[in-house]
Amino acid sequence: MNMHSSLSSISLGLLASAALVPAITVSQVKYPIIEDGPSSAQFTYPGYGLDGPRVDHVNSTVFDWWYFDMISDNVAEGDLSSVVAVFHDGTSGGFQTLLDSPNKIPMTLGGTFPNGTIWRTYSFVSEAVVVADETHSQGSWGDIGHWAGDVETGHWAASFDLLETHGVRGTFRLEQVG
Amino acid sequence: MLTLLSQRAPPHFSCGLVEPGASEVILPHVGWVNTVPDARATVDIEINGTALSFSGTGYHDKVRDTRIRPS
Repeated sequence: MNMHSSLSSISLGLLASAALVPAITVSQVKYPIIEDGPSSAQFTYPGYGLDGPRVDHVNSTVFDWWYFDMISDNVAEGDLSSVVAVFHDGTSGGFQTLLDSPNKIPMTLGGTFPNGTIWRTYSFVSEAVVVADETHSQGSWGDIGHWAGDVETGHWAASFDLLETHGVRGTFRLEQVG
Repeated sequence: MLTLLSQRAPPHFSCGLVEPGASEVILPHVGWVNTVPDARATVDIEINGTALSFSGTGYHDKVRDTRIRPS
């Protein structure tokens, strides 16, 4: 199947830092994320946009993701509360363990309740927006998930709302420590 | 004597701290940035009407993979 023709009607876009143009520092650049043809990835830090996108667009062979996890302070006392949140900029073609949905990109949430019972949600969106500048970055996965953070302040926060489709909504915050 | 110069564990790559020109490669075709190595986490989630709220330890990283060889 011709990937380009199968995806050409899909409205997928990504706002990104200019991390793939190391000589220029701007706040955002827009380009489509799922395309036919080769994609290139950046493997050398340009000095800004640490948490920005590092692939220029998504085809069937690449992925980029933003991963967060949290675990309770009281595991030793039997509280097994935990959360894992992943904002994927890729498809099952580039990352084989993702569910098969080559036209959309997923956001996965999961974890454990205090008693250890596992919970998990798996959602797809047709558009992701990531903006990054020298120290700040933020991402939106459609209307269902958002994160933002700053490497200088060490403050990060995320929110998600899947109440209608999965019965899940909430927030988490990270304050960087050492 | 141990002198702690920072109260925060800094972001880092697999083989060094965040500096312009540093390699982000951790494995062939795989880039990795440990943006938040250690954090205080506050979680407040509702799952099918059940609250999951706790304080704890958090972590954040960013990974990319490509089957083309990095230049």
